[in-house]
Amino acid sequence: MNVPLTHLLTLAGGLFFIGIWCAVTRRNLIMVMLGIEIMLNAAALAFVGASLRWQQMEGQAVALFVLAIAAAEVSVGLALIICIYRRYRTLDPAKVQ
Amino acid sequence: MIFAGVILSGFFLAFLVAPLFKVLGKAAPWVISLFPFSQLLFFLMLWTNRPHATGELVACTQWVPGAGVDLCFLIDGLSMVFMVLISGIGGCVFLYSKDYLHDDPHLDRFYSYLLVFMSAMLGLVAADNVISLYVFWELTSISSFLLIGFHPDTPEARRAALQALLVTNLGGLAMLAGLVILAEAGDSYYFSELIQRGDVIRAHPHYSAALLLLLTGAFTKSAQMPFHMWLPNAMVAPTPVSAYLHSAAMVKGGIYLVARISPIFGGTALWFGALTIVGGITFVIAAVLGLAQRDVKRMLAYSTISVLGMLMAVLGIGNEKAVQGAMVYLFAHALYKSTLFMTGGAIDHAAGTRDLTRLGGLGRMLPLVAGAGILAAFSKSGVPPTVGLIGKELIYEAGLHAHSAQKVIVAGALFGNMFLAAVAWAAGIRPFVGRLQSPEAPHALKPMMWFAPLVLGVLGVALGWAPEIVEKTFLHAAANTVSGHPVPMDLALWHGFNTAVLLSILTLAGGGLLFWVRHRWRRFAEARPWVGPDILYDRLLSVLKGIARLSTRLLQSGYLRQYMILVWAVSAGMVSWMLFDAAPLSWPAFAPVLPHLHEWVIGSVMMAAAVFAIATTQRLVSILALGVIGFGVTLFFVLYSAPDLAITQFLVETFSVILFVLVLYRLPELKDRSPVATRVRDALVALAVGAVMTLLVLGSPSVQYYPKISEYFAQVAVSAAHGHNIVNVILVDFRVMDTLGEITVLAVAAIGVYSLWRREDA
Amino acid sequence: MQTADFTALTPLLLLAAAIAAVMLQIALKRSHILTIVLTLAGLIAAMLGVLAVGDMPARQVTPLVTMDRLAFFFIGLILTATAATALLGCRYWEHAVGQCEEYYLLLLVAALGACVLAAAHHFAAFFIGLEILSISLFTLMAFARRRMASVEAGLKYLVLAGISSAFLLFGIALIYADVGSLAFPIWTARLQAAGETVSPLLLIGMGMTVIGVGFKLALVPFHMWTADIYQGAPAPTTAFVATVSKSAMVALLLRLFAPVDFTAEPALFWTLAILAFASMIVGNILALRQDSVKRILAYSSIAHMGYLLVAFLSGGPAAIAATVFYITAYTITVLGAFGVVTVLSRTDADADSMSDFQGLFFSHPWLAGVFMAMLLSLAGIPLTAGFIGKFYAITAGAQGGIWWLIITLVLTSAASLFYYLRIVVAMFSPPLENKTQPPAAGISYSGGLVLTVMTVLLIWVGSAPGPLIDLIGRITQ
Repeated sequence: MNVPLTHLLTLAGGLFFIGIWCAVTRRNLIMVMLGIEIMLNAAALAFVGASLRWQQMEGQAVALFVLAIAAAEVSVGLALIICIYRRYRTLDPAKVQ
Repeated sequence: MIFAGVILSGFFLAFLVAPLFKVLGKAAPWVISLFPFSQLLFFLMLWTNRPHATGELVACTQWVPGAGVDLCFLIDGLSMVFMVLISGIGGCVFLYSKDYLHDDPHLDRFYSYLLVFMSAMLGLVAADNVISLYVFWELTSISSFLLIGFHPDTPEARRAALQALLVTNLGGLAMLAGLVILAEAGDSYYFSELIQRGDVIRAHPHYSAALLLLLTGAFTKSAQMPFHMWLPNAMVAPTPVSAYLHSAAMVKGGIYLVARISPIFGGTALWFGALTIVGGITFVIAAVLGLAQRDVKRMLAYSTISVLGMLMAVLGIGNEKAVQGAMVYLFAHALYKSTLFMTGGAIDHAAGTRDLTRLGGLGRMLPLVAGAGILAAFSKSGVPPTVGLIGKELIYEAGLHAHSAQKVIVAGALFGNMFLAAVAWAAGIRPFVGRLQSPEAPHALKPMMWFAPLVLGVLGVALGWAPEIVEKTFLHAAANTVSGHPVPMDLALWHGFNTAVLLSILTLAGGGLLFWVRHRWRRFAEARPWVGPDILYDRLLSVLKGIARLSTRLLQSGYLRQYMILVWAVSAGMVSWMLFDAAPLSWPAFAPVLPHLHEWVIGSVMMAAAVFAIATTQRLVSILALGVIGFGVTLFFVLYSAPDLAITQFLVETFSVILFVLVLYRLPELKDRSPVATRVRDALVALAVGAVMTLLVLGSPSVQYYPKISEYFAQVAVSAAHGHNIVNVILVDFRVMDTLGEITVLAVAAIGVYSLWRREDA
Repeated sequence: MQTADFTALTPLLLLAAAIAAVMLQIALKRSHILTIVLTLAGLIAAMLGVLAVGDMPARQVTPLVTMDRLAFFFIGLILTATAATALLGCRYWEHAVGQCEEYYLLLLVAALGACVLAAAHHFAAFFIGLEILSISLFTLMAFARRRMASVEAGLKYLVLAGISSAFLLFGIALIYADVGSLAFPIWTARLQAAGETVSPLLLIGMGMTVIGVGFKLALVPFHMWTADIYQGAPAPTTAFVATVSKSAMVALLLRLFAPVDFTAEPALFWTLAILAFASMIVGNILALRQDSVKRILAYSSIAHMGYLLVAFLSGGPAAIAATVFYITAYTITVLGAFGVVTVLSRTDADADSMSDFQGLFFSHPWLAGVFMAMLLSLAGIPLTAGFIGKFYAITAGAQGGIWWLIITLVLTSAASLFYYLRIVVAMFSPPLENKTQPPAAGISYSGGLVLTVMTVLLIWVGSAPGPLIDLIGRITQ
């Protein structure tokens, strides 16, 4: 398993990039949240890569936090989205202003 | 120490005014008016009994430690002139206000503001530390703001108050910057020390910047063009305010500053040019505009601007006679201009208008007011024997003593002074003589309304007879301070027939002529509204508002997506800039080691899923694709020896997907995506971010890994923590604090969701 | 963990105990008054804890947090601001439809997050503190559920904070990949030692960290959420965001970048300098045309963070002292300003537009006086805390020779006076005839207490700053 950090970071960077794309281009609030999820996943991957390089557990522990925090953020976010949808009947961030 | 106490005691008294009014009732204004007079007495006694012939440092207390700001007060001739004027005229204005505002329910508040102003002004002219000078400077601006807007129910008053504070604050901040530069250049925050280092500062590279900043401050405070517009508008203030702040005291702050820094900055071409050009232009134009006014207070305001311009120009010339002339005329102007404002206010009170075209012959009803007005007008126009004439002749002499080409100043002074003389007669004499003209039947006035102006008017003449009294006491010392070295001084009404006397006679003759044609000039100007003072201010404000509108539209549209686009564009730009700026970077070659096939497959599937997730219009598919990414990450965790993490990731990912799907049940179908142009723009932004990421990846060092990680933890996990699952051991034993925080986050999220989702009552 | 560690953590432990107590109380019996009393008791206990252990020598507790004087100072500041918010909330939520006890619970949790952030010494602590703070803030913002603007504010904050967290995380991962440690001192040491050859990973990571910090401090161009959130969120929450979240981030900024020698790191210096410059200009310009008082205060906060950065960027010990002083003065002022807004607001609608403040001078002269003092302090007029702060920033900048930033500071401050004075002038204008929303009938005792304390502090710090400056001097040694 001689995968260099470079390759892992390539994958993470690519995912991050797609996450940004999703967060920026999509009009649906759900999709924006989805984009954030992808970005956070990418960050977790990068942490695991870094922790491999230094042979430490620290990075993995942080990756775990990232996962949990992503979940927490998604929960609160979805609750808010439902709140908004109840009133506005729209999920387009451009209409929410 | 006592001295500092006396100066600052006004601030404390300001808080006592309201209780005083409660206790003493109608007698309170008398008691309060005693305060400035007792201050005057104290200053004079202190000054005449001073141990050294030059200035002396009286009081110092630490204020802002570490930044070189102390409350130090310095009295020398220059501060003495101002302190005498501030407390003496202050006392008269206090008395005058008592009767002028006798039926105002907020008279106590008025006195509080006036006291704050007076103390701030005293602090300003006595401050030795440059920063405390600024503090007092701003306090005078604030109290002026409150006093101009004392009757805030009219929009004009609010606008004028705002304008005055804006303009003077702009200048004040410029001055603060100038003072800081000055202090850095001279390596001292004290005027008493900076005066010794004039040579160093004049040679300093920041000399011009400091001087121009300081002059900006002085010009705004003393209403020099193009900052002059606030002063005529400030005439909506009650008359005592105009008589005090806007003629004798606050507007002289700029003159004070220029006189104070004169020994430090003076004598250079920049000093001469800036002051004589700005001052001279202001002097002439304001005098000409002043004669075109109907309202007596506006007319006097313009003439104040004009005189302040003359004083600026004279200080710019800076020769012996000029400095003496500036000091004498400053003193004379304060006396006669306050008087004229007070008589103007008395006329307004008695006859119900300030419109000069509708006033005349009031002298028979108001003989004592008329007396004060006429004496002041004499002093203003330079009729002997007044202190105004002495000052004016000194100024002519200063011009005559200037270098050859600079003698043109004399012509300008003559021209402006003719207009000022005409203004003096129109405002100070014309309402009292001739046929009786008044919109309302003039009624008798309360005593202080004629007493206060009469005292000052008489003083103007008396000191013309005997100028040596003020000369010996403080004017000579002031001239010495401003010059930076002792100068001979001999004030007298008559020095024999010379050019200056001839010029004085010419001034009076020209003034008479202009007085004759003033109505024609007024009608000419009134037909041309662009002569008004507010054009620049209004333009500037509208330009500012235009910029604000434009940038609001560009930067603050309220659309979430536009925010995000801007943020990413800037982030990408910033990061790439940092990257290229920080040369030399060591870009390693792309790692030659190729990943294994299964890694390729997992990676490609993840990327494909990601692209699919954002490309599809079907929500469920998007979310399933998200799940694929998550499980891909899980696989990578498994591959890179983080099996425990993988399990967690697996669970969390499942949870997320389920959550998303659950929410989807409650939401509508996805809408179409953005139009093509928008998508192209968005894609460009996204590409830029992606490009930076790629660069980053190219730059990352390639490292070989070993399959076993964290030998240490693996070894100690069982022995120290009695656990076999390494990640669990780490979480609950070695990193227990992190985990505690982690749990807190989840708890918060739970509370948040609960309070958002709980049953809606009612 | 030894006893000394627990001693050092006293304030945080007390705060956590208060959280547990409030949670139990809500579970057992809902009572608004009881919750407030418990919340305040917890905060006061934690403050006493700060006083008791604040003078201890610095102690690193686990690799995560360092409890030094700087941390204690900021914790004290955060606790004070939280207590003020809770007191302001008393009357505000009193007539709320439904239950509002969770508000105080979330407030305490957010304060705990901010305290952890202020003491963070390690990336894990930083991130956990940040997320505790952020996630509670989402709900605190959306707490007025019946007001759409409030829920929207929560959502906007969530989306943008989520993205910024992602950026921050990715950046940190890169730094970690380069440095091999998540402890702050090692990062800064690495940054200083890097000298000529800088690894791109480290630089990009630092850049991303700056972006994350920029979001929380609302520096331009990461300021977008500020105005909407300030306006949409309930007034007490706005006061909280403007003070607690900012103070905690400033503490972090000091820990991360204060040891860095900016002359050796021009890229970092210029990035921060440009952010400061843009914040001063854009913040002030955008505030000029607003008619919403909350939006004006939002844009002014952007500009103020720019001023703060000027102090920070000047370098050297004077810079740290000036920064700490600035954030303290700013916290006092903003609590007072939003205190007035809150006192005039009700749960269903906040006092926001200029017309809500029109004629305040005639109906509530003292309230108008307090507000005017706060606005003048924001404008940096002498004898207020804001002036000393701005003066310190200018002096520090002059010592550091960053003249162009000082000139910008001075010019934009002059322009800023315009919009502050517009509010003052509105307060002095005659009241509107057909006023839709009359200001609150009377000021509650709790609100009055907060406003009195803040005004006294404002004038005290503004006229006799010696004691505070001495204190800060001891902290930043």
